[in-house]
Amino acid sequence: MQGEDIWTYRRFEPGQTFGVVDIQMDPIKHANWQDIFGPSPEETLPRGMLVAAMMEAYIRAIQPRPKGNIHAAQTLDFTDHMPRWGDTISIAVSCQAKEEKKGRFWVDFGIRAAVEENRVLSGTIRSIWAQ
Amino acid sequence: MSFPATLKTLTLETSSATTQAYAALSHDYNPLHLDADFAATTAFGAPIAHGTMALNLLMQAISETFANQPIREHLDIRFSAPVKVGETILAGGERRAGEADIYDIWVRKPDGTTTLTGTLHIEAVS
Repeated sequence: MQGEDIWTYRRFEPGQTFGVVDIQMDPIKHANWQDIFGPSPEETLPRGMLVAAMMEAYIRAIQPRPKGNIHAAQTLDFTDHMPRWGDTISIAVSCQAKEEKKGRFWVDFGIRAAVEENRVLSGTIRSIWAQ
Repeated sequence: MSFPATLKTLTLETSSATTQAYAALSHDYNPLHLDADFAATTAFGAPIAHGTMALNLLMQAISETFANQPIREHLDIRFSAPVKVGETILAGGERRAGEADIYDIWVRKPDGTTTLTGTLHIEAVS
């Protein structure tokens, strides 16, 4: 891994896009979810699973990254479309804003998740980037 | 549609096992959560639970409160204090005075420390 490949604060630009990550809500995820949060019926995907998928997309879309980034705040807007276990969630990740304040590197990442043409979640991850 | 005064309160005991499971679930293998040696070099001093694991406990509390009701949810939260792996957390919320559909939401430790705080706006779908 070359040092210059790491996503550092200076490389982010508002409006930048990082592509779309497709994540299947497969039986392994279902089992992991239930290990932590208890039973989850087949017919309804917990909205929290969309949050976990959002994090996976955000992490997979922006690599490699420095160690020690901090997730500081979050907005989430869920629609009334309810995905199911087994669906594939397509999640687009973008940079919305960046700001250096009091020596900390704040970056806002936009998230938009959909199942086929149906938007299920949008939101903003507000991070303190490590370097 | 009327909304209850409080959300159902849920509890989760965090542990290395739940942290490992959540790392696999979210693909978040940040060493802050999993590597005690790395975490010891940070301001946290020890591994901390994933913020969104706490958020998802709150999501579960919301889901159980409004089970089977068609709603849209809008959340605006911030993570206000870390949760060290091994600590217990509670998630819940109260409807704001004078508001029909806005809740003050939280995740706390048993000692009252707030680790996540924010607002939830519930929108009924007709």
